Amino acid sequence: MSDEAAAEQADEHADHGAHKLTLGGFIGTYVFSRDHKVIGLQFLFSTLLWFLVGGLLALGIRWQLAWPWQNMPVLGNMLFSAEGGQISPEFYTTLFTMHATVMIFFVIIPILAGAFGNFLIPLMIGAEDMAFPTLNMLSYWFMWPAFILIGASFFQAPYGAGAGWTSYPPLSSVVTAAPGSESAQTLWLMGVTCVGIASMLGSVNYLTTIIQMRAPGMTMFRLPMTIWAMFITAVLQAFALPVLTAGGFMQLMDRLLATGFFVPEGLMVNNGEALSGGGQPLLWQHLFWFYSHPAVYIMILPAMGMVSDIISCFSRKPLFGYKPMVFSISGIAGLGFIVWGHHMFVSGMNPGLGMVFMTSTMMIALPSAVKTFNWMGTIWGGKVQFTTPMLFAVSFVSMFIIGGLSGIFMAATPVDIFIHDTYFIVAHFHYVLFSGTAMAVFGAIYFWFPKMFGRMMNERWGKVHFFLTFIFLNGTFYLMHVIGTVGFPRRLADPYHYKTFAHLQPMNQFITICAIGMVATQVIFAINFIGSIFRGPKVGRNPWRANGLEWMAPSPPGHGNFDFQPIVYRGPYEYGSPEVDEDYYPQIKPPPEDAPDAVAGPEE
Amino acid sequence: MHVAREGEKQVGRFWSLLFLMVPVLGVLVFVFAASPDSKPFLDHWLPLNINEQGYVIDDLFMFILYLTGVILIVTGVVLFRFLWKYDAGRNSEPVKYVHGSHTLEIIWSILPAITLLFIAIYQMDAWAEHKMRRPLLEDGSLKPALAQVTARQFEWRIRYAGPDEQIGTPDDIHVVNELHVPVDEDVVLQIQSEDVLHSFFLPNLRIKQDLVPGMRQFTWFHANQGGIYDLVCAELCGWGHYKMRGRLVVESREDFDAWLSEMAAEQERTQPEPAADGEDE
Amino acid sequence: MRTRIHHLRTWQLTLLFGMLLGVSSGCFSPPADFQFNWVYLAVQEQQLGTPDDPAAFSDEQRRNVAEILQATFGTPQDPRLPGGLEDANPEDLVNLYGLRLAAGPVGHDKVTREPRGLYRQHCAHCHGVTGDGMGPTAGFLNPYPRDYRPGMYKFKLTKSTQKPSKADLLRTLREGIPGTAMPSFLVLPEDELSALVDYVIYLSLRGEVERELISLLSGLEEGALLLDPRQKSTDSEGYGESTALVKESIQNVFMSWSISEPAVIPAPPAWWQTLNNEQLDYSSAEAVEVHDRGLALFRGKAGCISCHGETALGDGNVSNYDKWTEQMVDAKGRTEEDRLEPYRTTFQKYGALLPRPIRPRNLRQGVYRGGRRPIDLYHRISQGINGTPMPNQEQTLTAEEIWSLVFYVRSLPFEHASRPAGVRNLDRERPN
Repeated sequence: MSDEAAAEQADEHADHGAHKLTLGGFIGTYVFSRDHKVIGLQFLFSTLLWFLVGGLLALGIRWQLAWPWQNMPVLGNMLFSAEGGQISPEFYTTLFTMHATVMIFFVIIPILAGAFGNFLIPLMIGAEDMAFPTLNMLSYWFMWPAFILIGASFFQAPYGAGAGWTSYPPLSSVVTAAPGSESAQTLWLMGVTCVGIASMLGSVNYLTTIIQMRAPGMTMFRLPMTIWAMFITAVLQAFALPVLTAGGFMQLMDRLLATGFFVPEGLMVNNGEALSGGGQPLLWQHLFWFYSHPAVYIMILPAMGMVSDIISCFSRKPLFGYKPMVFSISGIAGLGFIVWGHHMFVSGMNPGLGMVFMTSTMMIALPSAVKTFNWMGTIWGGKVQFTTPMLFAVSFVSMFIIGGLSGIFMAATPVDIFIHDTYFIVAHFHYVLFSGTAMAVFGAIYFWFPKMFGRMMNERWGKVHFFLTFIFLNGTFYLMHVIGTVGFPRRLADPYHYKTFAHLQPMNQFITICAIGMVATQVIFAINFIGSIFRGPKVGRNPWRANGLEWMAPSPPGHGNFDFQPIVYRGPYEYGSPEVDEDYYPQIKPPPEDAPDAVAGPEE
Repeated sequence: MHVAREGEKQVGRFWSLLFLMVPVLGVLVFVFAASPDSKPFLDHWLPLNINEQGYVIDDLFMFILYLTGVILIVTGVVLFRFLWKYDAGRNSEPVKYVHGSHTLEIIWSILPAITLLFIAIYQMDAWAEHKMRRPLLEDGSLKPALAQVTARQFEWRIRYAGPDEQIGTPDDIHVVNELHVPVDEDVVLQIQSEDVLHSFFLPNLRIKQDLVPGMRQFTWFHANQGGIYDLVCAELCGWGHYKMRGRLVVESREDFDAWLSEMAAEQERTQPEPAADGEDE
Repeated sequence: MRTRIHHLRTWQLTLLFGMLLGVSSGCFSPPADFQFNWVYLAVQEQQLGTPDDPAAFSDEQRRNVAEILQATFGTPQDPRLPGGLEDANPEDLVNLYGLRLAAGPVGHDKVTREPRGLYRQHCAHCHGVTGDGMGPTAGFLNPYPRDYRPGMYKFKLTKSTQKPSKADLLRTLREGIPGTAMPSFLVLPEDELSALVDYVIYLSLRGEVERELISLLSGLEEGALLLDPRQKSTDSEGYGESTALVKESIQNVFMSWSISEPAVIPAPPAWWQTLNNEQLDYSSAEAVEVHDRGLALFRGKAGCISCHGETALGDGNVSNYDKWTEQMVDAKGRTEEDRLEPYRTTFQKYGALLPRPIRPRNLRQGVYRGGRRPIDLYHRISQGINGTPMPNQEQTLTAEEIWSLVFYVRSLPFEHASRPAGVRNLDRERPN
């Protein structure tokens, strides 16, 4: 698309977002707001709070693995006073179910798509808001039923949902199969469905906004990688989520109407009568992973996009291989739909399918490798500034290499026979999701914080936070590879009565201590974050001297975002360009041969 | 506001070295874990394998481990090198204003592609051996199952085909949580679940198969060393998942037959045992 | 910048300090304790008064009972056995070493590395720290876990209502109870298993003594204490009498465990060996004859069909309650809610689990809770099942008749002709 055509198209839509964005009053402005930035921050605060909850749940799991059946601090006494604080095994199943549910559905997916997607998309493409502001507001408020339902399922008397976040039937769909299987599991399923609806509303909005509302001159190949990643993520959500939602409804019907989609005939569960069914438990696994494997990319692609932006900015150098990066993200999305079977190699699925999925899974490692090489290529020959966001971004690359490489073990079917459902896989996905995505999210918070609140976060404490998190997370997750090599299984409340695993307890205690350290470290972040909102030093529009459109808007941007009409002249990664004296070249800065007064640029 | 302050010049070195620690320590941990006598990592490695078909899994694991280890070191060191050399505090050269390299992109797409495809194809035979090629009898028919292992919440109910070699008849021998198999023989087991998903996991035999209720599945192995090993449930099956601990006893054919007939006799017991040790007076 | 960092540090310290306080308050938790048998206390109160206007024992009386119990049996951390009993040496019955292994919180002895807290590791989450069958997991299970406190056990080889032998309990631990949530603990080492048996007996003894003491309250004047320390000085004779009374109840409980003896299981008749050879053929003429004899008994004299149903699917009388729950229900109630009324009004608030009727066994599933051996089945028919409506038939049936019934019952899972619809038994599936 030529610049002129783009500008023309944008003119057509110039008045598109002119309707009023707020309902007025405090509630209309800050609670039921339709302003994408407020909604983004609402997502950010909610997800950070849930992040804390998820982290504490993880400590519960780690406590039991390090010191099984010992009195858990605080919680043990509150919940199990009659047993001397010893947790019950079904509480352990609830712990890991809720940890995964909270972290995946309430933290990672909404913090990437909800918080950063909402906040950044209109700003980075030069729009004044989302295409559908009301839909956008709804996508946040649909999270609340989910928060309430899943929160309620945790506190359901007598037991919470305990079928794992994968909710495999028949354990999840037969009411008598698990303690939490009574109302808790039903509430859980409804909650997940609400999350699905929220994501769906968001993704429709993102797709429309990115396609229709780009500023003049902002062609698709001038979009920052963050936006590309959000775009592809939205595509993934739009196409994969209906499958999970349908599966969720089928499971709900199995539970409430005894339909038996996933319940085979003749089951005798909890010594009850034989069930009539005629369904197939594996069907759920196919439906679930058909969504949840793409969801893995929903959980990493936006992080990759943001990391690309941060690395390029702090290397003061153009992103290496912009188009290959775009193509590899698209490749991941395409291949992401045909690899779901690698979660099911030993599930009882036809072993012939295992070979097909192994090949496609190996292939999906390729675009990830390409991206990694390109990030390293970006750093090469630059001038690296070790700011807090940069440290988090580089650690994303470093950790993602480990997470990616350990994935190859699981992709190889024969090796997967042994390490499936062991701590090896736990290590793998925590390297991708925590050491990868969560670190990128921290980086992104430090990076875009000035834009969100008009103040800087404290750099020194940011670095302390980074250093401790980095050390502790490797202490926690790296050693899980080692115990996984022994075959140490996931989800066991007390693995040490197996003689094969009895000697792993000291190692697990070490891991737990690191995990406690890691959670404690986040106190530094919390204080820095909250403190800086009120007391951080005020900054101008572009504290990092970056190129993106979002840095041209005021900090924080008012309603409608830009106090001028942005016109884009180039891609977002023109750092160190010989055309200008500064080491950055904002997207809106007209080229030197253009008339300098063509556009009212922002004050610096 | 300028971010790179004077005082941070030295700091770049520190952070670069921190990232160098990732491949260094990462590889060291595995070296320690794999070496037999390293104290903190004693036996923190693949457990003893006693299955003839299991060696190939260990070999493939090691193959991938070496391969990924090399990649981890190379990428880690390159990342370190770049961070070290192009630290803004020290690098006085101008930034290399490049947007990418077509040749490089092609090289680093094709090389991993070939490697990954090779790994995939290289594994297929081992996979087929484990999951698709059930042992045959001499006449070419499928070898019948020695026993039927039924998982239920939360134990393993095992049923041996009695003298008629058929499972499901009155002469079957029922035992619980203790699976005896003869050594140096192809053993076929019919595995199934009575209620929810379970997973039949024998760490020492590199066998793992989820048990799907309503499906009848088979697994097979060739144990080459006697002893007592763990039988683990590896798929979440409810609150008592961790309790599903079974015992695999690999013994000589004679011992196995003797044990089986002892169990058969016990199952037909009509008179109390003569006062045993645990008996109460 | 400096001052700001200083501010941040103060906040951080305050927060950290608060968190540390919270965490450490959790570390000093009270140790687990035995729960009082409220349900039995309420039963006694109802019996003493009328169901509508129950008597009420005072808190002081209840605490007095709890104190006597603690003095006699110790705490879950530090169990002990009563001394100075005539005719019964508690240590013959319960091994002190085993108690030490099984009691207390989970862990290891620091010096000897012996395991500790085996009961809480393996049993307590269902059977409860007190052995009341009301652990955190219990409410969800079907059937409920056993309440050890009445000292009643179903699956044993001793005489009808007598206590089980250690070998019986050990067998239950090893084999588990098929068709229930009780798993097999076969893989535990021998000494740990027998330690658990000792501890279970200990909990039974304690529970039975508790029940005895609560019943003794009914004989006292209103508000009087069972053992009043104040009485010691004022009325030493009366105090001595009460002490003797308490001691006697303890002794009776111990005696009941020592006197139990194995039931007589006569040798099977001659046809048994011929039929149960290696190639058991249910279609041979002789087998058909025995089978028909068993069937006639099943439907006739032995009266099995009244509960197990005509087709032996366990669909006869399904509204009975077992001995552990019958005190909490009104068995004569018409609807389920009527039957549950006593539970709802009185017992629910003590944490008692919702009473469920006891299901007669479906004999066609091939699942035998007490074991599938002929000796087990013979004992079940001959001695009945303690605590359930399954009666003792030792006097009504001859040995040969019982053996015919055993033969018939064992053939039921393989009876294809009358394979009842609606029940698919995975066990019965044959490989091709």
